[in-house]
Amino acid sequence: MISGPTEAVEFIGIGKSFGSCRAVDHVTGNFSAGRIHAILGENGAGKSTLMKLLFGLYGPTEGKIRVKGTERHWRSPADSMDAGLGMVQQHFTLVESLSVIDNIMLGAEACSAFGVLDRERAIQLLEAELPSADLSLDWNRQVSDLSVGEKQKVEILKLIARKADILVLDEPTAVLAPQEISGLFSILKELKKQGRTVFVITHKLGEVFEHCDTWFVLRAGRSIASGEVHQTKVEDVVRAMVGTNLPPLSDLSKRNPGEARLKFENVSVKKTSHVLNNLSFEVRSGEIVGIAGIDGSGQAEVVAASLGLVSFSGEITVLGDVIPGSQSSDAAAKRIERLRNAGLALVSEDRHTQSLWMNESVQLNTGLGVDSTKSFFKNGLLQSKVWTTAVSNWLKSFDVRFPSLEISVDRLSGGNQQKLIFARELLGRTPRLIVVHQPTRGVDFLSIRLIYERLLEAREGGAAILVISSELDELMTLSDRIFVLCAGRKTGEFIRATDTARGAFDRTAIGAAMTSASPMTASEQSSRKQTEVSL
Amino acid sequence: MRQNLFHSLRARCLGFAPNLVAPILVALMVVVTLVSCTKKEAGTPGSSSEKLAGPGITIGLVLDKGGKDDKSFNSAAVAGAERAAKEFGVVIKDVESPDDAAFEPAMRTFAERGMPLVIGIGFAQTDPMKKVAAQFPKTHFAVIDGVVEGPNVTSFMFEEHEGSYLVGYLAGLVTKTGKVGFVGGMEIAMIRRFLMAYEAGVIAANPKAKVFSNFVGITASAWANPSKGKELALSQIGQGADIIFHAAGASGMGVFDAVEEKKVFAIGVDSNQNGIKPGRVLTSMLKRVDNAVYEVIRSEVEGRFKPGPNSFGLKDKGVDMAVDANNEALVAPHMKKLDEVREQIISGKIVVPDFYKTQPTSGTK
Amino acid sequence: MNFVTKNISWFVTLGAVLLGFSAALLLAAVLGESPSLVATVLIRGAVGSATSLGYSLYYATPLIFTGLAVSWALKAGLFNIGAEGQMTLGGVAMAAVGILASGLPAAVAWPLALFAGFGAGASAGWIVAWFKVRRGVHEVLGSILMNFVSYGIAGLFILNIFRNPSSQNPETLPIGPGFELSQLSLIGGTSPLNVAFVFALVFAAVADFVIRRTRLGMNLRWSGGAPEFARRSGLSIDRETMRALAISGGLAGLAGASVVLGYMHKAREGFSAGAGFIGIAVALLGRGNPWGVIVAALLFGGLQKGSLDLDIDTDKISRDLAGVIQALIVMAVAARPVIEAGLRTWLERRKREAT
Repeated sequence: MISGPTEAVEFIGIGKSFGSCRAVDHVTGNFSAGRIHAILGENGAGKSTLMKLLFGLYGPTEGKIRVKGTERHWRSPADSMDAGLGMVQQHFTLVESLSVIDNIMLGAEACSAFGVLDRERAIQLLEAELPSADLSLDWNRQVSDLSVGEKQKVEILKLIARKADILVLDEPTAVLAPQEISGLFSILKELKKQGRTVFVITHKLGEVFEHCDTWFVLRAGRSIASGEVHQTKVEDVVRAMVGTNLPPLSDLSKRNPGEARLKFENVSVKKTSHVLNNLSFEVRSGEIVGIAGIDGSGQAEVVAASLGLVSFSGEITVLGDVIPGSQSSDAAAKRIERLRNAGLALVSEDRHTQSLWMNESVQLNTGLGVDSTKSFFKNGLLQSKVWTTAVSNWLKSFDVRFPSLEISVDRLSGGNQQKLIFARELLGRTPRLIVVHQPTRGVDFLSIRLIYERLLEAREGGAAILVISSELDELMTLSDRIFVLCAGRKTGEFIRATDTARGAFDRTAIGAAMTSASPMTASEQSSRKQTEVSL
Repeated sequence: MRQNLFHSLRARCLGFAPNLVAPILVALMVVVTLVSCTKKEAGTPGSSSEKLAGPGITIGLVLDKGGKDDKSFNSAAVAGAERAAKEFGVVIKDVESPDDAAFEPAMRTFAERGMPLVIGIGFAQTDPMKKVAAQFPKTHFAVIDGVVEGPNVTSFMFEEHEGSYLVGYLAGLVTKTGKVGFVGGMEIAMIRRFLMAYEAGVIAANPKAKVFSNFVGITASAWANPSKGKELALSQIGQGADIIFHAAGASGMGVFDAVEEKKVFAIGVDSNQNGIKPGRVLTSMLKRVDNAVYEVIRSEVEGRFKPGPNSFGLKDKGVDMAVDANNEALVAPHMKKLDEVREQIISGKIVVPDFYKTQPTSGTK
Repeated sequence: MNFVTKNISWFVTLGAVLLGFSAALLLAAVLGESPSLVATVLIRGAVGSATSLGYSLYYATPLIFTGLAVSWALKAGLFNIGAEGQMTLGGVAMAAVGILASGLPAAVAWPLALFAGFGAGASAGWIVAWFKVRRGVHEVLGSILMNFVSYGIAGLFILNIFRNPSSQNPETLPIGPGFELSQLSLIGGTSPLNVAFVFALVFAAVADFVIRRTRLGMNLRWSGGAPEFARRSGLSIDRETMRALAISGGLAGLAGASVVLGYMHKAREGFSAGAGFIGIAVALLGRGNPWGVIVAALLFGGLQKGSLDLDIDTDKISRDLAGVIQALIVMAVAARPVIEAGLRTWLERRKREAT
């Protein structure tokens, strides 16, 4: 061991090209041991590629990597794992049908003689390694029963079990609810105390400034800037990431709501879990209404019920059309088609399954579902020229970056995928009601800005917009009104303060509503609204 | 160093474990198929030493779908061909047909290879033989159990009703309950022919006797359903039958099981089946497919192939009743009477009812 | 290099075919038969003469239809393993109209027979879809059970209603002469190759066009490729399921044309001879692409014909070898994703090391 303040990882002029594209271009940087390093950058900036080079998933085209002072040339991830590196991918690699401990043991098995798995011993060994009880789980639970946050914990535990002392987490918070995020970072801080080094790939600056020690910004494959978090201002990091100063978002102060385009009256959805309970709200033209709440509080059911995809009681009116509480799937399909053609734009929660056809082309994905109003077909025959021209224009106007129209959409970054969806939904039809669910999950900084701008433009143009998000910052940025869902009930409603000097919304009050299980009484509701307004 | 090597090996193996699955499966497959794919050893003598042309002539044998191990019809044909091969030094090439469409190319291939005689076993081959025989006028064709007309085709039909009458007569003499059974395979005219004559034979020997009859089914699978055969036999035994004649191909194995279980008697069919359940098989109604195949090969070898229909009956031992060590004790007391009946059938004194002649159209086309 | 990477799936499929053949030839060698003799016999038997070629194409004809049928359903994410039963029903329906309307001239008779075959197969497919959509019965279960129902119905018609009383074979009366499809003796010599083969090619071309260039085809694939997305865009998955399985069944229903109308001129029990099940392998090998299905069907048809001669021309190998080859090919194709992933990594690494 070399004494003194060691550099856990050093990149020396490292580069990686894919064909003619330089994903990582002569990056140099030092990362000291026992700290949490934030790797920042927009999607496509080369963050993931850099970390994959470190981890041995790719071999570098040029340059060197030093780990703990020794120059390394990985031949496969197995080599780097043996040297104490570990990576948690964005998509978990867990076997759902196995228990927690079995998943941890996979590939790092503590075997007794003759290859028999020794779970007891594995648990002992693991518990000895744990920095705190925070990381402990019920070892025998099946992974499929775990929440997303717990699954992530299992992934981290897998690395600990393999004695990894340099951990790389790729966008770890993209899938987590707000309270899970702070849980994750408290674990990472415990690991740091044990002397382990942690890399976090992210583009959420809030997390960086709250939890990380250093930041390192990549743009277009190059290292742009780096520094200590406590010596840096947010604006400097943003400028490093996007290359320019961002203009402020359009003004939200003018508020001029018109007719109700989406209306819920005493709507309840009953299933075994996740119910909507007597929910009433409306979204008027020219306003943005936000729904806040912990994931799984009934947000998905709001969308599904609006489309008539679940049975419900109460009354829902969408663009003047009363949705029946239960209907055949054929009737539901016909109604959805009619509503979509009449101007219902929809950005669903899970873009991979609900908004995109993953292994199909960019071209097809941009035109799907809006073809009937755009004469993409004539007598049932594809008019590919019409289609191509239309979608090219839409994609251009939303600044979607793609190598070719023919490329499969799963090759695009999350941000470009989401912009593609917005392009289709907002330009493929004249939007009168826009329902977006998690509009910016896993989306990069500049794309988020663009999406916000376009939503605000649509509001200006008289569209009614419902934004459902677990990012409170997002809702507070966009919304005219926010109401909070908790366990299917509306537990608070807030209106944007006209005087924004003290913040548009009361974050603490919203946070409290997100976890309060009891519904407000009508008087409470109105009094709280009063307070909000008077603030 | 060794530690490292081991570690990376382990990691690599684990990492690429799925890649190993395919080769392992393939290896397994190879082992399994090695066992299953070899040609069955019932191969014809001489066939391994000769290719297409040899010192003796080569004769093509197209078997029915049952295959040469059916212990009945096709097995008999192969046995006859082997006997001829041994005696006359000819080479036999046989092919089993997987489906109805394969008869024709098989026959055609044989003819194209210049084989002087192509033999088709079973009535399913009448249609394709009609076509192929017309296209190869210089080749001789023979069909067993069906009729094909043509200047180069000979057909062999069996007078199944004569033999069935004879075994029916025996059943009528032997039955103690006065009730006997019949289990047919597929319900077709040929099996009806068996049944009609069998009934007549039983009644002739024992006018008060009762005959139960059932068919396994109406599709080709009826030839290969032993469990249904057993079920039908047990039901007939339950009604009092103590002798059951089967004409049901492989389904008949179920009949043998049933009679063994219930300690009654069965009568076999086609080949000599007396030995299948010794002591419980009263006799077998022989249909000498082997003789027919042997005969047609002999006529070819001796240069006296004669086109046209041939009929094998009791007279020329084309159909017969099997007597061997397994059943001698059972039938000995009745042999004298049976020989009398046989003579009367041959001489025409007894006219055995023929189902084909009761039909507006004859049994074969 | 780029060409290889782009079409890697097809290359791996081709590799699978070659692997299947080599493994089978290796097997032959282990059993003491010369692999080159086996290969020669197979190839000569399949394409050695006009008649042999004709037989190969004749055997391929129903496989094209059933392969298309399975592929069509696969496009919608549905697994139709009922092609065998649908083919049987279709063939019986063709025979039925051929018997009932025996006086019709070919110009009317052919379309009518094809229509009947398509309709019968489509009805069977539709019933499977109905149970899936309305009662939640998985289509694999539904279609395999429907096979037995189809056999039963076909048996009723072949063995009772239209039975030919003067035949020992379980078959119907002959169809009218107008229904008999013309032989393609120019290509197929004296083989039973008939116009149904041309119909198969036409249907494949039409299927390809519909899948790629029409709304019908796009919706079909959409409902299977991204059902949640499609549902949220107003596409009725139920309706697409019904349509997909009905058309799939209809295509399988046409598979009997070559045998019933073109060769036997009657429906005989068991005429389908497993073409419906081999169609699944054909669809997998053809990767659901109509042109791929044609190639795969020709391969399997040629194998079927070529292997008949193995019994005759070799001493130790029987035609069961063809089944082994088919099985090995299907297994290798099934392992395609794994092989493909491995190959991609390898290509990448080689490229990396080259630079």
